[in-house]
Amino acid sequence: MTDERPIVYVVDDDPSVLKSLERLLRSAGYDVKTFKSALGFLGFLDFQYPDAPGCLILDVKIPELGGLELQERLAEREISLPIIFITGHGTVSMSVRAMKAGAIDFLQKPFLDTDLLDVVSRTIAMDREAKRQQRRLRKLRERLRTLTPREYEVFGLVVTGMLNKQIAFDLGTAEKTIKVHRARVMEKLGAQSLPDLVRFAERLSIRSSGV
Amino acid sequence: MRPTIRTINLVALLAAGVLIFAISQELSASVPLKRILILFPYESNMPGFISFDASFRSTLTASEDYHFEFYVECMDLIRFPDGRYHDKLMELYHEKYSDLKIDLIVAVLRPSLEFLAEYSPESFSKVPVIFCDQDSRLLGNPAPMPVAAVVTGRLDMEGTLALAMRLHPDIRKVFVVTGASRFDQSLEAMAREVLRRFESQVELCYLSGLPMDELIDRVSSLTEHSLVFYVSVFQDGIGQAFKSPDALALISRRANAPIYSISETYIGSGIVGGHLVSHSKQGARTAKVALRILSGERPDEGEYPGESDNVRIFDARELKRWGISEEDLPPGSDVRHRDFSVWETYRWQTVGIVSILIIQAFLISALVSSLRRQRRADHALRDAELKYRTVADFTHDWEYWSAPDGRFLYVSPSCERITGYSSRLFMEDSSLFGRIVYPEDHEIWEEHVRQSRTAPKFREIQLRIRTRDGDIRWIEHACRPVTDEQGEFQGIRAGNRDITDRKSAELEAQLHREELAHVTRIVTIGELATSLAHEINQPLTAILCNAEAAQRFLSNSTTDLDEVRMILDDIIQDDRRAGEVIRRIRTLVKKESSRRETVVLNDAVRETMALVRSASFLEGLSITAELDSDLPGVHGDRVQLQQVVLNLLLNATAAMRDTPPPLRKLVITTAKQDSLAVVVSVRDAGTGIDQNGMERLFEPFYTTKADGLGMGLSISRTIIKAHGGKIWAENNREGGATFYFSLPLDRGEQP
Repeated sequence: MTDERPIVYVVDDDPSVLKSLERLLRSAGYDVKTFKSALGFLGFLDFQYPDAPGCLILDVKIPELGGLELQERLAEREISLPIIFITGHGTVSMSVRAMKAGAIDFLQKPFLDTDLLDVVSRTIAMDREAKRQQRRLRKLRERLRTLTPREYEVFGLVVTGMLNKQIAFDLGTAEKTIKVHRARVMEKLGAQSLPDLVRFAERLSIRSSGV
Repeated sequence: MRPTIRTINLVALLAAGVLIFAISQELSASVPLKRILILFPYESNMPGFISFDASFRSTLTASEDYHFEFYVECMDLIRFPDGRYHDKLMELYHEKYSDLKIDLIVAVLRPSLEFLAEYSPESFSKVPVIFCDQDSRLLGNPAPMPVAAVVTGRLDMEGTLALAMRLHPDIRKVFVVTGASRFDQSLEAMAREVLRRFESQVELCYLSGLPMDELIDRVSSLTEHSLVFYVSVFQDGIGQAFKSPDALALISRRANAPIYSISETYIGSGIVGGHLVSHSKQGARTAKVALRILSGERPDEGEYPGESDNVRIFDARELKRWGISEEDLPPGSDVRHRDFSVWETYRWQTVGIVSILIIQAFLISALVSSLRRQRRADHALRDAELKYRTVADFTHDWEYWSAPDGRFLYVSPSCERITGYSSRLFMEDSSLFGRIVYPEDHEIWEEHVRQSRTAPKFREIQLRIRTRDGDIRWIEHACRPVTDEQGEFQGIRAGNRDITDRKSAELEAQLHREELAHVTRIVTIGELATSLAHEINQPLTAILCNAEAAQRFLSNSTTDLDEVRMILDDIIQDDRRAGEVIRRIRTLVKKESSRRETVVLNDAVRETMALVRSASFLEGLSITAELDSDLPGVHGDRVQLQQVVLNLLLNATAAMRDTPPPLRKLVITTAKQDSLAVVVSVRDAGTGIDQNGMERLFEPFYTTKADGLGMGLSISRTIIKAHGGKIWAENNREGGATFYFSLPLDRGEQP
């Protein structure tokens, strides 16, 4: 599962550049999917979510929908795919804007194979890790969804460091009941200890639900 | 026809001949023939004898009783007095006449009779002789021989002198001229005898026996109121023999007084006249005597004197010479050698001549007036000739007229100013023009000459010539065919203008324009640098990636060689692509002199669009081309026309900088404007052009761009104008502006 084959997506309007990039990446052992335009790539994404670790190599200057616009669209769709921009000639403002929007790198054409492949492998490793994290978080959320509203309340208060007694007081119930809820939360979320719970809560961005 | 006439003529001639022969036979048969021998002591051409002989013969032949044959011997005895000559002569006559039966002998003058008496041969002894002399007083005594008859006249000396004195009443001296011969002396004696009775009235001087020179001297210096009475000179004082009339002529020519004489012989030799013995009358009288003797009458030694033979005869020329009026002459005078008035003599000839003269006069006056008209016409012609020649000779341009065969009929002297060759050289050598045409322009010239011959009409060409000094000059050659009133082709009339200065100014301007166009192109290319870098970067990137991929594939254990082969193909393809971009840039940047050719506008537009494609991407605009696929070619400089398209495209791009990206649209079109021109338009969706901008759009240095030079449209207009086209701009109704330029169609020949 974790050693899934990474996929590199390439979008460039220049067919020969596109073809040469495909060959270069393929020679380095990557699976490559090429698109002549941003819209073509978006169309592809409608059918298939990029689960496998990978990256997008994107020419800034492509007709109709430009590289930077595509970056925005992907963010809107919450598609996390690290983007490596390539450009025939880029401006500083263009690269700043891209980097701010989360681009991994901004390569000037023509580039050395090692430069590109280094960036690609680094990015893929990053993406692989990110994808793993995402998968964990997704599981955690699935578990979180199994909590009852009372259990969710208790979870929120537990991770604030409140004692069972205090929680019971706050909730107007017995300490014993809180103890049962706490055990159910730990069981449902798969936590061994309170620190585990706190880490989960942080990961799930759950602060004190009472606040 | 001719032979017939000849035949008739011949027949007629034969017939006439036969008739004449018959008649003569009949005559000779019926009329007895009489042979008459006439002896004359002098030469045959003595005037007196000639008239004697003529009347003698005519009188005899008038007689129908006989048929006569005349034999005349002019014995010239006086000039040849030698006896041996006389012997030989008689021998000759004897020989000559021995076979003839002479019926009658006429001995004229005493020497003839003396000769006959002395030498008469046997054969003449029975023949009757008629002795003939001028005066019976000269017969002498005794007669040398018996004769059948003596016919004499009378030398009327006294009558003659009386006549002369009547005509010259104031005469004082009479010079009597006689010679030295025996006969002269006998006449002198007679004169002295008969003229004695005049001594009371005039002084008689005898110039007798003088040498001719002296005699002539004497008569040429006679005193006033003198006259000469010429008797005879057969021999002068120094023994020189004369024919007396000849001697008279010598004297008369020099004499300063009128001369009178006694014999008809002297008429015409210089005498005024006289009461003269008429030899013709004497001849006629002798003839009558002869007839009587031939008819058998024998008037033994009968004498037939005749005073009546004398006639008053005058020489008109001498009368005139001495101022004697014909009216003063006695009635019945015979005036000889009269210069008849022209009218009398040549009446008809005169009429003819006068008519001819009148006609001639008419003709001459007609001729003169025609000549005068001619001269006036000539004068007018000369004036006109002078006028037109002046017009032609003083032209600034080099004018000529060449015949249909290419010979020069006229070359204006100004050719020397332009070519260095005189008009004479052109006239003598019609190929000279062709030879001085600059080699590179030969084809133009040859083509022009060919066209002028096959289809004469007005034509104009420009070509270079090499002058005599080796300089190169531009001339503008304009020519048109010459036709006469009948429309016949009479050659070509041409003018050649030296346009070297204008041409070099034009060339300089063109160089400037090219220079400027070049500079602005470089600036434009500079503006395009980003776009062009992209255009080159793309293939370079592809090449690099491909090459690196290939390397990796090759280092793998399982190498897909087909893949590598495809990669190499693509590398080559991309390299070519990069090269093409560079070529286009170089074409635009290269500095090249203007070269006119047929330009396919659509191709030029497409190539230019390729250059700005990247730029348009960078600007985020879309370019659409709507090109007329049937667009005809234009004649022009491809690079310069591309420059214009490029300028318009870049201007349109710049104009849309503030337009929202989705609306940044640029449309370029080509279309036929009409049958004569094509039009290219570039439409943008920019800000449009304000009124001020519209007016100043094509001015140099006018720009709305912050970094613009303001040369783009200005140079575009210069280029389009140089191509004979037009460039203009309009605002679009829906916003933005459209630039247009039109170009004349390529017709193979510049209009």
